[in-house]
Amino acid sequence: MTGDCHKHGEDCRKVHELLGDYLDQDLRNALCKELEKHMDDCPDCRVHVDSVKKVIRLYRTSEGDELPVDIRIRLQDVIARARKEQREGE
Amino acid sequence: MSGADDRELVGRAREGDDQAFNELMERHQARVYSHALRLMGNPQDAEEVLQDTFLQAFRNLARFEERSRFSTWIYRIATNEALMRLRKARRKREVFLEDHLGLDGELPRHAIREFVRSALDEVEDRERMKILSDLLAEMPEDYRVAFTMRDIDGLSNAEVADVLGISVAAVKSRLHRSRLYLRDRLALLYGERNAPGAAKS
Repeated sequence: MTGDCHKHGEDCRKVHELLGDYLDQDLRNALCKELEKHMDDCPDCRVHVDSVKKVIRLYRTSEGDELPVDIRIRLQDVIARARKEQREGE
Repeated sequence: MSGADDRELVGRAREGDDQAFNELMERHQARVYSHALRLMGNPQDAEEVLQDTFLQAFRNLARFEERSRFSTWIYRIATNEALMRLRKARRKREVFLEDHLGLDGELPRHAIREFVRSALDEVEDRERMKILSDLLAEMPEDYRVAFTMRDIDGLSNAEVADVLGISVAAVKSRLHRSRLYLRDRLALLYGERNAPGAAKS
């Protein structure tokens, strides 16, 4: 049993160390499978990985895709002024 | 909206076609603004970054190398504009990520488990966006920038490293710390929101 516990602890450490590469899919296939197998047996590591995945998902799905109208108008004005200056300088 | 691609619009804008440049702006302004807002942490500075980004693009269109994409080029200009401002105005009140991460082991496991199970995704959009952007704004800029570009905007580690002029290993390190920091802060916030007696919105 001691051997198993030791191995378990090592695998937990591996999950923590390689979390970034795992999430970025930068791990070779065999290592990726090894981590996933460990996570199937280790709820703490599973939660650790899922919690970070959740952070990324929350941020990625919170994109504002509309520019407020007043900001859009002021931007157009800035570019119109720059055009005018450029043409006057030519 | 025309059906022309960015490359064609850039070509026409270089020849003095105002409409073509306007259309490029129309296509990219919301993304540039969102990016600037996340990096700067407030709408006033984000708007300045937006304006200066398109001014730079307008003035330097002749120097744009057509082998790269316009979206990448404008994104890089916006990032540089934001970084320049942030470095000038180095915030006095910064959270030291290392200090916070020192608490990582002390954050109760159940808090993280609850966060994973939480329906934070279902919190009303505006409120959720405020929570997320406030947390992002409290991170030191080096971390905020790396997290924004990699995890929100979807650049690769190598691309982030290139824009910031740092190694891929440094990007990975900043990302790792940022992700854990945000995870811990969100888990704590979620715990506070759901504590007995907490006001529900």
